[in-house]
Amino acid sequence: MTDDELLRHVREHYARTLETVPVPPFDTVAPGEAGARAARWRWPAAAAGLAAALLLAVLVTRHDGTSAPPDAADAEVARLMADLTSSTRWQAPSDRALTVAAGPSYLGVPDLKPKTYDPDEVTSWL
Amino acid sequence: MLDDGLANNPRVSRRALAALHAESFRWALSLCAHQPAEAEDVMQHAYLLLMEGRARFDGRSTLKTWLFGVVRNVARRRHRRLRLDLALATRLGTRDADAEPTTEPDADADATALAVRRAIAGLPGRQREVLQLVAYADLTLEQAAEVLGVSVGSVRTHYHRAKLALRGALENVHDG
Repeated sequence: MTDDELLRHVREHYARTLETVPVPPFDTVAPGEAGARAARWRWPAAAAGLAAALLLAVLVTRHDGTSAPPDAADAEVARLMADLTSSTRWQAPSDRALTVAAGPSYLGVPDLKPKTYDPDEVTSWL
Repeated sequence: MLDDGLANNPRVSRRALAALHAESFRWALSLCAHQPAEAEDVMQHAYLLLMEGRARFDGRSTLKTWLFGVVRNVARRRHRRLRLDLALATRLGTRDADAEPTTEPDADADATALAVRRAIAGLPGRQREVLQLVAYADLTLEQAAEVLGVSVGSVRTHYHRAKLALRGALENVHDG
C-alpha cells in the first residue's frame, strides 16, 4: 500500500468522524471584543467582592460567634480597637508575683484571665 | 498591523479567525473525544485568550499553526481538571470509574474503514495527533512540531510509526 493510499484512508476517516458534526457558527462561539473586556473584569471583580464580604463578616462577627447587626459594626470596631490598645498591660511587680491583666478575646485571640506568674519564671524568660 | 486586528492581538484579524473556525473546531473536537459541547467550550476559551491578549500571536508561525497550538493547550488544561474531577467523583462514589463513554461503530462502515478507525484509536496519543495534523489538517511536519511543542525529529518519528501501524492493520484486513 502506498503512502498516498494510506493517507487517503486517514483523511476519509477524519472526514467521516469530524465533518459529520455540525460546526457552531463563529459568532456564537467567539466573544465580541466588548464581551472579552467584560469577561476580563469578571474574575477580579468577583475576587474583590469576595474579599469585601469576608472582611465585613470578620468585622461583624464577635468573639462568641454571634453576629452583630451591620449598623452596629462601626461602633463594635471602635470598641475593639480601644480594648486592644488599652487592655493588655503589665502591672508593677509585687514581692512574689507579676500579674498580667488581659482584656476579653476578640478576633480569635483566646481569653486570657489575669494570671499570676512566679518572678523567677519571668526572669528566666528574659 | 491589520485593519481589523483585535485590540489586544493586533496581528490577528477576526476575519482570519472566522475563516479558520471550522478547522479549529474539528481539531478541538478530536482533542475532546468527539464531544461537541466540550469542543465548543474549548474554542470559546481559546478565543477569549486571544481577545484578551493572554495568548499573543507574534507572526513567527502561521496563524493556523499558532491557533491550533492554543486550542491544544486549552484542551489539555481542561482535561487535566476534568480528570481530577472524575477521580474525585469516583472516590466519592458518585460515578462508576468504568463508565467511560463509548462510541459504537457505524453499521454501514466497511471493513477497511473499521480497520482504519480501530488502528487510529489504538495509536498512542502523540502519534494520532501527528497523523491528524499532517494527513488531515494539511500541516507540514515542521508546523505539526510547532503545534505540539516538540522537535521536528520527534514528529517525524511519530508520523513514521503511525503510518507503520496503520499499514500493518490495513494489510491484515486485505490479507484476511
